[in-house]
Order: sequence, then structure tokens, then C-alpha cells
Amino acid sequence: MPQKAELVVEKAPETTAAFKYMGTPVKVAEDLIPLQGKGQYLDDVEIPGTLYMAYTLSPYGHAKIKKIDTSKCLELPGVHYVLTGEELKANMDPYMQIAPPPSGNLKDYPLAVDKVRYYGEPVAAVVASNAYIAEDAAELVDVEYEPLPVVTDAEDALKEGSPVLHDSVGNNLVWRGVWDLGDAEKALKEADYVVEDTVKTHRYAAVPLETSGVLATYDQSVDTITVYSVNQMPMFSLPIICGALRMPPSKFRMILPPNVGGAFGGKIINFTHITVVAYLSKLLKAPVKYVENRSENIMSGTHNNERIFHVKLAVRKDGRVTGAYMKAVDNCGAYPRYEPAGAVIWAQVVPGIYDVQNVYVDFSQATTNKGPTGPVRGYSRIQHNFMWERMMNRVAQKLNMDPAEVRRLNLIKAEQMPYEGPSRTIYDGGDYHKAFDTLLDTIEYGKWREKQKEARKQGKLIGIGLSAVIDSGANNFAQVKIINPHFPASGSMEVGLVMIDQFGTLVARTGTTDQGQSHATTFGQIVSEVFNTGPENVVFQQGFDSISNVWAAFSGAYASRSAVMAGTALYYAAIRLKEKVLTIAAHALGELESDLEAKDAAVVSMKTDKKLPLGDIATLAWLDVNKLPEDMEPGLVSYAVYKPDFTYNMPDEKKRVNNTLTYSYAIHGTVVEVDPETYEMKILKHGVVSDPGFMINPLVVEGQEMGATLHGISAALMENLEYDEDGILLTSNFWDYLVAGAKHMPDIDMKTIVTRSTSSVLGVRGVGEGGGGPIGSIVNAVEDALQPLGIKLLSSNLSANELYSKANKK
Amino acid sequence: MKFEGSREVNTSAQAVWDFLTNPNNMAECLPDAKSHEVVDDKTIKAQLKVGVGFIKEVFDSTISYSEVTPDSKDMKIKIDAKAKANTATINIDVHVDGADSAAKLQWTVDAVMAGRLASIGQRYISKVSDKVIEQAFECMMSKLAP
Repeated sequence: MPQKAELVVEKAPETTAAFKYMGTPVKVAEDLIPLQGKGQYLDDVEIPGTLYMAYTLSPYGHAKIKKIDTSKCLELPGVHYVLTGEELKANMDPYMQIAPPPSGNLKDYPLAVDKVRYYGEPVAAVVASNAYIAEDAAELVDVEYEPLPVVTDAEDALKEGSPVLHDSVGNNLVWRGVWDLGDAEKALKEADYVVEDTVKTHRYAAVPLETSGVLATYDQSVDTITVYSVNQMPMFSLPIICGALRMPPSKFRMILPPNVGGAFGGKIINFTHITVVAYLSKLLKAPVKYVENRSENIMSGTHNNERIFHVKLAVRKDGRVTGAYMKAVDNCGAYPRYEPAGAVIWAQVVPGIYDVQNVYVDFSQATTNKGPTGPVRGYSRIQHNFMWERMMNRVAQKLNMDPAEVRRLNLIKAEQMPYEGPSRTIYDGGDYHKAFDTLLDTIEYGKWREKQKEARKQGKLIGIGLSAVIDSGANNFAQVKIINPHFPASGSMEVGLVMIDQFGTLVARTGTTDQGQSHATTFGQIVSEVFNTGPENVVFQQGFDSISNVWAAFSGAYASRSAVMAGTALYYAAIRLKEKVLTIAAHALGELESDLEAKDAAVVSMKTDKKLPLGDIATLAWLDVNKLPEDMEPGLVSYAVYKPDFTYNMPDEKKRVNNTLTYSYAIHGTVVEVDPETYEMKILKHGVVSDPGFMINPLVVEGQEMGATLHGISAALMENLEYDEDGILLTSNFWDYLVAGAKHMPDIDMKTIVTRSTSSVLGVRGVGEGGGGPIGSIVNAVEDALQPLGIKLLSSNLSANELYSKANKK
Repeated sequence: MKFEGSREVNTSAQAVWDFLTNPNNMAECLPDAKSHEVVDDKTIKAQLKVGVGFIKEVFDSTISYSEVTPDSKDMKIKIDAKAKANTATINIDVHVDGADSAAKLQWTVDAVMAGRLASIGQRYISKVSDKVIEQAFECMMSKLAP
């Protein structure tokens, strides 16, 4: 079995023909397994003799560690070991930093060393004979702290005299970059109006159903650590972990169980847990397991970046936006573990969905005494999309225009596709106007405007909000070179393996891991299409294993890439395998390859109707190998590594690069009613019109988009990671941190219009993250509802309390 | 977290002052104390049980007096408290004044809470502190009563 993929260069095949198996709503068979409780998740993996780990957590937002006394903890029967940051520091290197010095001088360890920098930061790791003892024992670690001044706001963190989190950096600036694209200054000078405002996005969490976890075991005989984890980018995380632990990746086997219970970006920076558990398993020569509890996941799983924008838009009298000038300050929390990638990833959607070529962005990112941030469903683009959608409403207010009309006027036109944005992103087709108008029809926009007038006469607060967002997919790692030209990664790749077993069953594997995205069904349809055979003849093998499965260095399910990247790799691998199958069949049947076709788990001759089942071909290829064509290698295994061409593959001196391969888009419309006494908000109607490109399985795409919509509704109306002035997280459990569930989901009217992606081989676009579409439409709708009260909103999160306070202050 | 309060007492300011500055009196009026020990005339060590919502913790606490100024009847009380996964540092400024039979006791509190209790129970802490103060006050009144 090939361990290491080799790069291949292959011309993309013409894929405009009608498909038979792809594009159909095949029911998702694999969903039944977890629904019946038969899934194999991380915590279901058991090894005899396993010890369990629990963390002692920081009770402070910022404090010096004066002393750690582990004696009481070690006295508790069942406790095996207590690990502190000091011991780790002596035995590992700090994690590599993406940013160059001075912020690259930051020393990041998985356990706090010398001081704690956020509430809930792990300070010590206690290992015991069971999870209950470990948790009790963790509270017996006696840590003496000296509280330090706290900074939780990113703009405050960048001010002179602010408390500094990392002494080795000297200040709290992680990275600052200026994008000067087109001529925004000129646009502002020549504008009829300059529309100016501040927009703020709030902090919320990824909240996967299954929290992060690790099980590590050390095999002394081969000096190898085997780790079971749920990491979304296992082969990208591996060098980070192995670099820190000073061991070669080949001595570290990474396995993911067949089922992962959601991730949404929140299972990338969990490499800190993997490091600690792997270290302990080797030290104690025993299997060690750790599974985050819900509070730990909320406190330090992964937080979405808070960001504040100070924006000026150059606007013509007719409502056309000709330029944008903004300062953005991003709050990345205490440790930039995936950051400052977010400080450039927003640039995937520089003009949003609008035709604006003059954009100036001064972007800074700061560390603060809050939990670490990283990718959360729509990483870094949500903030930028939200900014555009709030500002489009401000333009409408300034010009006394309908917000729908302002948007329609500024949308990129279908004839401009593929559209090259000011930062050289290439929007890969679409008809934004068609989608927009479809949305207005879907939510009955005109009718609701009339209803709103009547409702206001009766003292009712009804509002209508729109939001048009871009959701990029399949990232180009070269964008990180904008931050650090020496960052050793660029482009993207994914691997697909297709084989036929000895009995003739098609088997597929890839480097991405399913977290609930229905990979088995979707990828099965791709292989079915190539072999022109039903999905019942294809087995997709879930799970990941760095020794026995295929992988490429960027393998993983993140950045809305699985269908685009793994789907294409599997498509190529299947085509290659089919070529070999046809060659064997032609030899066996005495026919010309050009007269043969694959069909219904067999190869048939279009000329003579002769038929050779795949099972017979497999027998020849695997067993009866002397009957193979001369010089042909036995076996029926094919794999391909797909490395897309982004056209603008590397950033230039103006930071321009095509940051990602596909750009799906969605238009959201929300009608809300706000109770004039309690200020509770109720969604009366929510519509979405999206263009995911070609849909391999429309049911799967619908599910992804439904989930992203619910996540956005939840973010706007419920989820908020709220810290007090001392850096204490006030919403660290499901009692205080409210998450929308099925019962909170309003009826969603979803429609798709399909235009094929001009960039991806299969014509698909990455979907599932959703670009935070509902957040903008809900906030715009609520502000519209409150218009009679003159209430202006700032943040992406709304609460009845806040609205009540604003209404009663006036 | 900062808060302040005052209470009028139907006795002399000097009697209230004398009561407050005597650690033995104070130790006996510590609400929900599982144990206490008067270390010296300015220090008490105690185990205090505090419940906020469903979280109940026993805090190992050191209560110390400083800047005791009999002339103006001002003093500072500092409470350093520590429990599993929770810590609290509470600084209280106390002032007593008023006429012979109508003393007025005023206090300002600056509390820094850290840990699970601060995170989960913060919105209830002011209610809990009101209850604790009320308990302490009732105790003092009963001991001051003739």
C-alpha cells in the first residue's frame, strides 16, 4: 500500500456531460449508524490498562504562577502522575509560530509556564487510574497565583501601557498588514458621500456534538507513539507536534476513528491535547486517554475571532459603492495557535459579493486574556461578510434607498464571471442577481414591506433584513506567506485511492475524514459514476491512519474542501483504475479497449456484447496474474494526488493571490418580530438561496447548508462567549452558553440555483461553512424592526436584555 | 466586583466599633464558618462555606485587619480565600460614625473572584453577599443587644 503520495500532473477531464450517479439525491446510508448509537467515536476506542488524564485549570484571566504544590494530589489513591508546564518546557520545544519575529518569539506550550493567560488554561495534567479520580485529583493541585492586570479588548491590547501577555514578544501585536488595492483614497475623495461606521463581530465557539479527545499509547519495541485523535488536519498537525516533542513524524502514528462528531474548525488547534497525552503515554509507558468535558471545550476548544472594523465607504449618489477604506482589529485570544492565519484569510472575500475594486484595509491582530481563537465555520470570512452587509444597510439609510436596491446595484454581474477581485481572488462563476431576485421572491420581500408599514401603525416591530455572502472553499496555503514568506507551505492537495478487491468490489479511501458530511455516500457516487455502476458496488472506507491509509500533507476536512479536493482526487484515481481495468478486459476478451465500457460492475463490449465482471478481472489482477498483459503490474490499486492550479498561486508584493479555489455564495433574507415590551426576537420567515455549484448529492448539500444556517442563527441570537473585566468567562457551560437546537430552528425556505464552478474539476464549490449569512440578515432585520425607536446596533450578537436596555436608555 | 452598603444600628458608634475591632467577636459572627481560629488581634483563620447556586465550596480563609484608626473609626479588612478551583480576594473599607444611640456602619467592598464560582455564579454573587452581610449583621446585633 503506498504510504506517501507522489504528485501527479493531469489535465482536468471534460466534466460537462450529464452524470448518472453524481447529481442524484442518494439517501445517506451511513447516517443510520450514529443514529442507532453504533458509531465508533474517540471515546469508544478502548485499550486495556488505559490511564486517564484531567487538567487543573486556571481560575484567573491573567496571573503569575508563584508555586505549584502537587503533594496532596499525589497522595490520592489512584493518582499516577502530575505533569506541570515546567517539566514540559524542559522536555519539549515551544510550538512553531506562523508569524515572524517579534511575535514569532512567542513561547507556546500546552501547559502554562510561569503564568496563566486566560481563564480555563491548563496548568497541570493529572494522570489517574480512572477518569473520576483524575478529575477529583486535578482539583487537589495547589497553585499559588499572583493576579496580573487583564486586557480583554483587542484595541486596548494594542495601546501603549496595556498589560503584555507574552514578555518574549514585548507587546500584544501578533501581526499587522496593509492591503492597498486599487485606489481607495481617490475613490473617497471623488465620492458623493462617505458612509462611515463601526462594525463589531462577537466571540462564539465551534460547539461540536463530540468534544475533542486523545488516546495515546507507546510501543517500546518500536519506539513509536500511536495516537487516536479527532484532529481535522492530522498530517498538518503532526509536524507541529513532532517538532515540539523532538521526534520524527515516522515515529508517530496518527489514527482517527471512523466517526467524528462534528468539528466546524474546532478540532484543529487541539494538537495541544495530543502533545500532552502523547508525552505522558511515552513517559508512563501506558495508554493515556483524555476527553474534553463540555466546559473545557467551551473555554478553550476554539473561539471565533472577535473583530472590530472602522469603515468608510465611497458612495455615488445612485448608491453605487466605489471604494472601501477600513481599519480592522482582530482579537485572537491568548495564544495564536492557528493565527495569525485569520489575519489574511478574510482576504478571500475582499469585496464581499460586490463589484468594488478600490479597497484599503489596515489589519491588525492582538493577543488578549481570552481563550485561543481559530477556524470556526466560516473562519475569518464571516466577520468580513458581516461588515459588508452592515455597511450596505448604512448606505441605504444614508441615501434613503431600499437596502435590496443598494445591494442589487452593487452585486457582481453574471457577465463579469469569472470575476477577478482586487486581491486577485477569482470568483468561479455564478449569477448573483438571479440568486438575489430569487431570494426576494422566496421571502416575499415586497409583501413584507407592505405588512411592515401596517404593523408599525399598530405599534408592532417587524423588520426585514438581507445578507449576501461569499463562502470560499479549498484554501491555498500560499496566502500565509503574506504573513511570513518563509512559511513552508503553499497550494493545496488531497489524495484519493480507489482499488478493486479480490471479489470485484470497488473500494475508495481518501485523506479527508468525515465529521458528519456524508463522505461515504458522496465519494461513493463519484466512483460509481466513473465505473458506471451502482453505489451498492462501492465501499468507502472511513477513518484515517497515517500508516495504513493514504494521505497527503494537507489532508483533512477543513476549509470546505472535501468535495472539491478529495472528490477530484478520487475521480482521477477512479479514472486511472478504470483504464487498467479496460486494458485487462481487452486482453482477456480479445477486444479493443476502445470498444469496451464499464457498466454495472462489469466491463462490456459495445461491439460484441461480451461481458467480464469486475470480480473476474480482479481474479486476473490479483491471483491469476500470469494471464495479465505482458509487463503489467499485478493488483488493482490506483491513487491520485490532486493539486489545483489557483492561477495566481503565490502572493505578490501587494499581497494579491487567489486565496482559495471555489467561491460559493448565498443570499439570506430574514423577517423578524421584536416584542415591544420584552424585546424578545422571533424569526417569522427565513429564506436562503445559494449556489453550491454542481451538487454531487443534493441531499447532502441541503443538510450542510441547513446546518450552516442554524449555526448562523444561533450565533446571532444565542451564542456569546462573554468575559468580565477580570477575564473570567461567564458563559462556560450549556447553562449560560446557549446553543440553538432543532427546537429553535425556524422553517427555512431553501432554494438553490446551480452554476458550475469554473475552477474545480467537477464543477462543485465548497459549501457547509455558509459565510455566516444569517448573522447579517438577522441583525439587519432586528435593526430594521427597531427603526421607529431609532436604535442602532453594533454587534453581531443580539440579546433581548441588550435591546431592552437600549430602548429604555432613550 | 465592587459594591457598598450601610446600616443604621440602634446603639452607640463606639460599641459597634469595639465589637468590630475585636477579632474574637468577629470570628463568632462569621457566617457559615465550619471552624475558626483567632491567630492574633488582627488575624483570623477560618473555613467558610459558601454556596452560590448549586456550587458549594469550603474556602480556607485568612481575615486580616489593617489601618485600624480609632479616631475616625475607619479600618480595612482583607479576606484571602481559597478553595478547589476557586479563589477570592476581598478588600472591605469599614467606617463607623453617628450619634450615641444611632450608629451608622458603612462599608465598601472590592472583591476579586476567580475560578468556577466566579464564572458560573457571578450573576448571583451580589445576592449571596447580601445574605452573608445580613447574617453577620444579625449576629452582631444579637451580641450587642443588652
